[in-house]
Amino acid sequence: MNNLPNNVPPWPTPERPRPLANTPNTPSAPNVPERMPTAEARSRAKVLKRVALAGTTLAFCALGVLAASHVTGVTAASGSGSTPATAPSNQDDHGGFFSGDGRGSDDGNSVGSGQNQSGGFNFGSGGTIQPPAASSGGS
Amino acid sequence: MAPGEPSSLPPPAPAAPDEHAPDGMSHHAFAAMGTTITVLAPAEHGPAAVTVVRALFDEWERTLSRFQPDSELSRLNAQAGSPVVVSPLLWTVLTTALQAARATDGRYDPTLLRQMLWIGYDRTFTELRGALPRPAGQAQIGGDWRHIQLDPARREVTLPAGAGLDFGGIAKGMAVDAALDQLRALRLTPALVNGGGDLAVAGQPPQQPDWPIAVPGRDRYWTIPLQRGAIATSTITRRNWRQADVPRHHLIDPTTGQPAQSDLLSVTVVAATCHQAEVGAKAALLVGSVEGARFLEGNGLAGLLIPKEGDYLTAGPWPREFMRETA
Repeated sequence: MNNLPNNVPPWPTPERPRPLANTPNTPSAPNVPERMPTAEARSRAKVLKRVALAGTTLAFCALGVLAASHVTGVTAASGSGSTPATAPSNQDDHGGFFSGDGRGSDDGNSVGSGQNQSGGFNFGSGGTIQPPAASSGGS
Repeated sequence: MAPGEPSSLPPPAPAAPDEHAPDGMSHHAFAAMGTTITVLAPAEHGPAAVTVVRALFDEWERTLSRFQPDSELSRLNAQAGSPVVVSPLLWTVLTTALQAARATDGRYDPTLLRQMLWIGYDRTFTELRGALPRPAGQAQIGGDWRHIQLDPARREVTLPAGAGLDFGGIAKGMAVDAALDQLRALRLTPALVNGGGDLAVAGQPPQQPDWPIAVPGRDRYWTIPLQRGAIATSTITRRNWRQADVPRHHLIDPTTGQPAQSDLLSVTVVAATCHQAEVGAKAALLVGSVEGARFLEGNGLAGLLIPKEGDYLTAGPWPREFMRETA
């Protein structure tokens, strides 16, 4: 019924905890760190302060450069003159083509009646009947 | 005539109403890009404004015309299959056109030059007279734009071999937008720039809260008040002709490679910019009234869709209250 040898129990026996190799057999004195000399502590504190200051300055400069390049890109993109500095990227921008681009921000009172306002265009109230200034669909 | 092809040309466009420059503004016109460009600007700034706009259109036409063999576009088309470094202007127009193609799932296709040539549109429209011969072979579907290779770092373009660019109305719309940008920068506004029916405005005319703009229906015009933005119309009632016995027009459906046969005569779209309006109008016209209206609304555009039969449709925030019976 049982093929195990007689000196082997049918279930695993837990291993006995073994003493750590470096555990001292006798109690030793409490482990008290050595106190750093005041002069050295001040010196290290100064170094740390300098490192922190330099790191903060570098991070600030990097953020400033990023912000400046972003502003430049936006300005170039919104200009779209005859000699643009930047070109639209060739990334997949499926939904962005028809979004309003903020043109007309220098138009003064561009909101008007607020009627039918939408992304980048709006219609007037048509309160005064005027002959057409221009026609669409001529081409 | 092949089965499914129309037997007659579309009805002629209604006669456009007379235009009147708003009080205090002057009206200027010149020919460019195969059409008439008009500029409305404050009377005291009119000559300066039209000088700026004319110089811009001249430069854009020299660069982008497919009818000028020495234009940069023609030279690029002639080198299809090889990498070509292009100017910033051509690069910007091309990459914007590719954005438009992606945004419309290819309904707007800037690479339909072969198809334009196949239907006989191989010269300027004013020269397109007389009996055009029936083309050899079959129409080819579009979509070459998907295989254009771009190297932005070098501004280098490689067109697929055999493909050709024809930007069509988007280049004119972008020129209108760029012209208005320059007028704004030079403080020559308020102004209106009209590129043969695709127009945009900057500011409001003196003593008027908006610009009255005539938009076409099937047999009449309506006048709507535009305060800010741009309007463009795509229509098959203009720029049509016969090739042998087959009626043709210039709005090609990329899925067939032939002039579109939707249920629409024209689509007028209002958008933030002229090139957006132009692309929106063309894409809507190609797919027909139901899907076209859905497309315009989905992209936040206002549209007026004129079917070949039946009442007009509107999409988005189109000001239906101004669709009076008289115009």
